[in-house]
Amino acid sequence: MPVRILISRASAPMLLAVLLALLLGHAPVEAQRASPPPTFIAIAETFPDLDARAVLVRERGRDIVVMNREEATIDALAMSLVALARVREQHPSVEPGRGQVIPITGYAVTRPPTGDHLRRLQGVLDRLETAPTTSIGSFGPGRWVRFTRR
Amino acid sequence: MPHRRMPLIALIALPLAMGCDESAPIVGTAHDSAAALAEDLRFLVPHLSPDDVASHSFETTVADPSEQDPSANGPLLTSLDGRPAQKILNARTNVGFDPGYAWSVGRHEYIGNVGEVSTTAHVTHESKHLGSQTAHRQNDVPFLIDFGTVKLIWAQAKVYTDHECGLSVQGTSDHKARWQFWNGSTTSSWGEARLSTQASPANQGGCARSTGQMGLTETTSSGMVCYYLITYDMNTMEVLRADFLYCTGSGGPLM
Repeated sequence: MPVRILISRASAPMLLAVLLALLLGHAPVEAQRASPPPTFIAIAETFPDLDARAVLVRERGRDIVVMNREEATIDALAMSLVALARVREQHPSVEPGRGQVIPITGYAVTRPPTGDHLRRLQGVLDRLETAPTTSIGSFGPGRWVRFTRR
Repeated sequence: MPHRRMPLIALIALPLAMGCDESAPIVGTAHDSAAALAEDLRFLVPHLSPDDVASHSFETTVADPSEQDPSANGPLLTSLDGRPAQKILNARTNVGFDPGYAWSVGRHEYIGNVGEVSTTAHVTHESKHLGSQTAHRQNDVPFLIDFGTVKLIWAQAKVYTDHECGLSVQGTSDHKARWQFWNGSTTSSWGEARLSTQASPANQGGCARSTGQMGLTETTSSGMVCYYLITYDMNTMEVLRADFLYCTGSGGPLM
């Protein structure tokens, strides 16, 4: 039995808007590359012997910053996020089935964070301080919070 | 009738479309609830050691004839089998910056059928160590066809960077030469000569000071950071690729 869809001239713009919204919401992954994946900040109680001051872990769909408990400072967090931003520029997405581990061997802050930037970083560290101790992947016990975006 | 249903469809479809957008601001307690934070942050990374990431080796089995020093004299000393004793000549380390990277080159001439050199480039900013990259090379010539000619070996370590100011590079190298014989089942080595060299630092030059915060209400930090990037297979934990040390200097708005 044939199905007839009746669309009035007045409702056509609304239908077009709905279709457009559906298409945008389900755009290809490449089109959504401008949106970075969720970011998690973690402090590991035990840090691997990697000669690294922090480690970034990237998987398809999320990025994780793991800091050494002894070096979980504003500067370490700020520079880890700088490194993460640069890696994202160079590698916008991670291939399925693959991961990236990025040991940060060293950093030097030339202009310390101030103002809102400093407050946001301090807020992350404050939340980490009160987060419960759980397991941080293969690093062992630690604490983590989700990095809230604007 | 149809146009009455359209608004209802829109009310259903639009939230579905918005739900696919992971860039939506995350505010509030949904992701920071006590229950959510008490969950484990599950992931696995391969087991890595500092040598896995900081060292890159280049190995050849036969010395390149073009690398033999044409100005070399004959054997300088004699040994029990008529071959000259192992010796290291003109060992040195040089450092510098080329567009896109800092480098350290360790080189020496040697007598012996096995030559080895390791060189490490140490990158610093205002005396603060940022990272090191090592390169290693070994040249082997079969004992039976090496009668003591002088050969050349060198290795270059690179640290890639997108920064054009503020960095310094220092270099250190280990130089080795020995005689080695493999009889088909065991290897015998004797008389290893060993020497270390280092180079004076090379500098990019200071960076120009910024003139201010440009009136932005949100200030940002800036600095230099060095890292390795290691790609691995999440199923097997096999390391697929380890990129050279990379140093970047930037500042920008927080993500």
